[in-house]
Amino acid sequence: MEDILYAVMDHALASGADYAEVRQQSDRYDRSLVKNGAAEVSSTEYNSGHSVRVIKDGCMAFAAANGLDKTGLMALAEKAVRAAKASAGLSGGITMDGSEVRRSKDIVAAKVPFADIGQEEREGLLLEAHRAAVGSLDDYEARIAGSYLSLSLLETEKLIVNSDGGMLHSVTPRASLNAFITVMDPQKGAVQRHVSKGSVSGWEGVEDWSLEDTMAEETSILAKVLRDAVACKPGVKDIILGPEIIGLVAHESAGHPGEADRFLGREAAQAGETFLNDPSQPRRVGDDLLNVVDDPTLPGSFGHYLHDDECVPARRRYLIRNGVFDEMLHNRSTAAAMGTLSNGSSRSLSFDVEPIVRMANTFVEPGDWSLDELLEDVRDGILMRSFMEWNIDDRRYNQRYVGLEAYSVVKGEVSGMVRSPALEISTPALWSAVDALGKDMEFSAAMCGKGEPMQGIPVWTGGPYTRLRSVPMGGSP
Amino acid sequence: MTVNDEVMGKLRRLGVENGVVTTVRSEEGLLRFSNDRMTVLDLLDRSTVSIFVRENGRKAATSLSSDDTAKVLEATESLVKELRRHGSGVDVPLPRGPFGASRSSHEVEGIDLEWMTDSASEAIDAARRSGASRSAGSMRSAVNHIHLSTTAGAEAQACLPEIEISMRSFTEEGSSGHGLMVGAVKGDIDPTEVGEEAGGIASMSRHMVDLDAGRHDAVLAPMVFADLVSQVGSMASAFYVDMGMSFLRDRVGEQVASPLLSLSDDPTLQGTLGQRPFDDEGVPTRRNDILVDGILQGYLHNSQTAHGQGTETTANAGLIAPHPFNLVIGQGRGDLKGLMDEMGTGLVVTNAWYLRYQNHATGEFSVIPRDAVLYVKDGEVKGAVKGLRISDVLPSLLSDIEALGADRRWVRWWEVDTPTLSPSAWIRDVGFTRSSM
Repeated sequence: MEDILYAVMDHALASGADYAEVRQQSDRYDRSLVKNGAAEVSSTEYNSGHSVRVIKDGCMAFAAANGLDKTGLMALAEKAVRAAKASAGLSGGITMDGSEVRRSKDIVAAKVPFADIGQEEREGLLLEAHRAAVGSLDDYEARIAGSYLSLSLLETEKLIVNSDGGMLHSVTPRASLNAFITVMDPQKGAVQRHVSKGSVSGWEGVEDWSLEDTMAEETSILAKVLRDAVACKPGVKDIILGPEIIGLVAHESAGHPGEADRFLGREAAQAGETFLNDPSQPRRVGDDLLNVVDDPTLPGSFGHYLHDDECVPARRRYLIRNGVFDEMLHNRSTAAAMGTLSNGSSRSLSFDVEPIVRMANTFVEPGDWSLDELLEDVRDGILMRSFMEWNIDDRRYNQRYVGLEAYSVVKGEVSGMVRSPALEISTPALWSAVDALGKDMEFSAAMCGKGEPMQGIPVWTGGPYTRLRSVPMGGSP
Repeated sequence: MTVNDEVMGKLRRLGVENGVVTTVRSEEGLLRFSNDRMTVLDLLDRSTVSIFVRENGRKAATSLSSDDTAKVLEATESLVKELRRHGSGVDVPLPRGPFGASRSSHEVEGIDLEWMTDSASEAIDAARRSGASRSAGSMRSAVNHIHLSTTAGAEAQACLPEIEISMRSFTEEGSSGHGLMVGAVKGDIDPTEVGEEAGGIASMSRHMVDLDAGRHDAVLAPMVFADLVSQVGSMASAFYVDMGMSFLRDRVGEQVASPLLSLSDDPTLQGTLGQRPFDDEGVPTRRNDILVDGILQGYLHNSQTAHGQGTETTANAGLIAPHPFNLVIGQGRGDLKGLMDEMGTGLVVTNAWYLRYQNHATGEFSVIPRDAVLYVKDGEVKGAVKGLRISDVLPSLLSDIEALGADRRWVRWWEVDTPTLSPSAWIRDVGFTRSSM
């Protein structure tokens, strides 16, 4: 197949392209859904096809199709070149940078291949997890009023060649779980929680999630919120954000602002731009202790890859280094536009969408404090471990996180639960309030949406317990 | 013989009583632009065959992006074998066809790249003339050919075109406005009007004024009101009601919104983006009222969810989760300016995005206005306000509707998935929050 891809690439060049890239991608999804404690559906999806991306006189065109033979692929290449030529009147002056592109074979070997796991076993795991969730409420008045657990096992194979000498053959198994639980008490109402897990691994990664324990713990926390949580008194407080929330902050308020395509305005009508393109905004946003990075190379991580879809090697990128916004995430065309080199951030979800600038695993690097030490001199504060509602404006400046599992902290001690504390704050104010970082890291899995057509790409977010001094805390409506 | 015929033959030979096969071929052109220049032109041509079977009280599905008949038949056989290895239970039968001649669509045009490029240029130029310094957006044209067959005798085909232009314009000062237009044929799109709208809103929001957070009266423009009310459409799905992801649970027959608000799902509207002659079980679609004068009429069903609640399908399948296709909000009187005059003092929110719930069951949510938020005093625009967020409870907000406009327009874009015909709405005491540091 590699020979055919090269022939198609050469044909695109012969047809007039200045740059050509050909990708074959196949994705196999095996999914199981358990709803309200009963197996709802199992499915297998095969999604495969080819794409050709070309640049001609500064115009980029992308053509994708499935079910094509070599002749059809040659025609697809011609179609892409014709489209690029036809749009010369609106040429965006697009070029590729001079990054090193590699020839590589990146195969992630599963210890327990997904093919060894049948539908019954997949559903069995979810049903057991649901039973554990139900059982966790034995000592509470509250009951589960609705739930779903969805398990997805994905195997992706990509073969990519480009006219600058890059070649990538990758095979990536990826497992993910999405669950949603509603716990209700007739007297006290309902609370809800999303639970996500994800890893690049075989079935062994799923086993590492300890799903029964996870669902039991998450469900019993919801019951505690219903039983114990009291209204959050608004005011300026010290806050300790748990790994789940600081990971989301790293993603939303360091990762997204640091995407070069947003900086260049290429997502302006969709995911938005970045406050970093406002020259009046300072690049220093925090203390020297603060480092926020994005690193696709973490083994087993949900956003793992070693070479991006432009065959550029992946590496750790410092979005915020010692408190200062530092490196942006680039693909080869944004790097060329900004006079730098790509740092391997180009990813596509499936064969029929173009690669765009994406995060992989974004996190705050740890410090050396224990949680007890972080709590020790907090006189009036909040410890927020998890969230439900969050959002951030399209410049990634004004954000809101509403806590789910949250506690008041009084004189260094974790006290009672508080209900729906809301942190609403600007990005510079948030980062500049960080004064201490825990030493223990945790990661959460998420799907990050961006692009048009929308591409939901797998990522990890993470960090240590993180203390913020004197920030405004409100209650939700 | 079509792929559908081959798969139906296979399902019948295997003795499957409840099976659906759907073939979709999509052709699509998507032009994206930013800073007034094109960033990429996408050309997509995809085929998918999906097979769904209910048997032994279980459901299973497979889909292939391939029209290789041998592979499709192999996947079909494998699907049925796997399904028969486990379980026993009673199946809800698929709705029994045939349902008469399938209705196809109106005029269908091909993907016209030259027209798309010219239209994008026209919109960009119009935005500039209206005061914008730069624009970004997308122009999309697609045709979806759908062929559905079921073992219960349904047989239907449709060819459904979609055309959309969505653009956002910015001024030198950083103010912005959004314009969009959606339809089924090129004649539905006026690129100049879209550019003038985006550029005009951006221009009128250059001058900033301060306003405290708190409760303010607000006129929500169609893009914002569509975002909120389309949530009600999604939450009317019996599947989401059953899972606790809806504030409409156990409220049929009750007043869940202002008497001014009526909402229906109407995929039968010819020539609209969300037109759909049949649902995913092959049942001819129909208009379904969701809210009439603010009273919840019922939920959206496929045959499975309907059976669970002792009722009939509403022809809104989704094989797993029923859903709306084409939402229509009832209109009121007057235009945006008329609502502003009536409101007197308050805010006009022109666009919003990133709606997230703290609790779907209660409707506690927030959403972020983007582009112009205009402060209006005595019916006149005094300036624009930055940094606000709508933080409220959806059923309460929808109960506080004071008036709806007659300025309905179709909305679908990055934030609003389901095409929604929406007017502007004047709402009392909307909760606004903002970052205080």
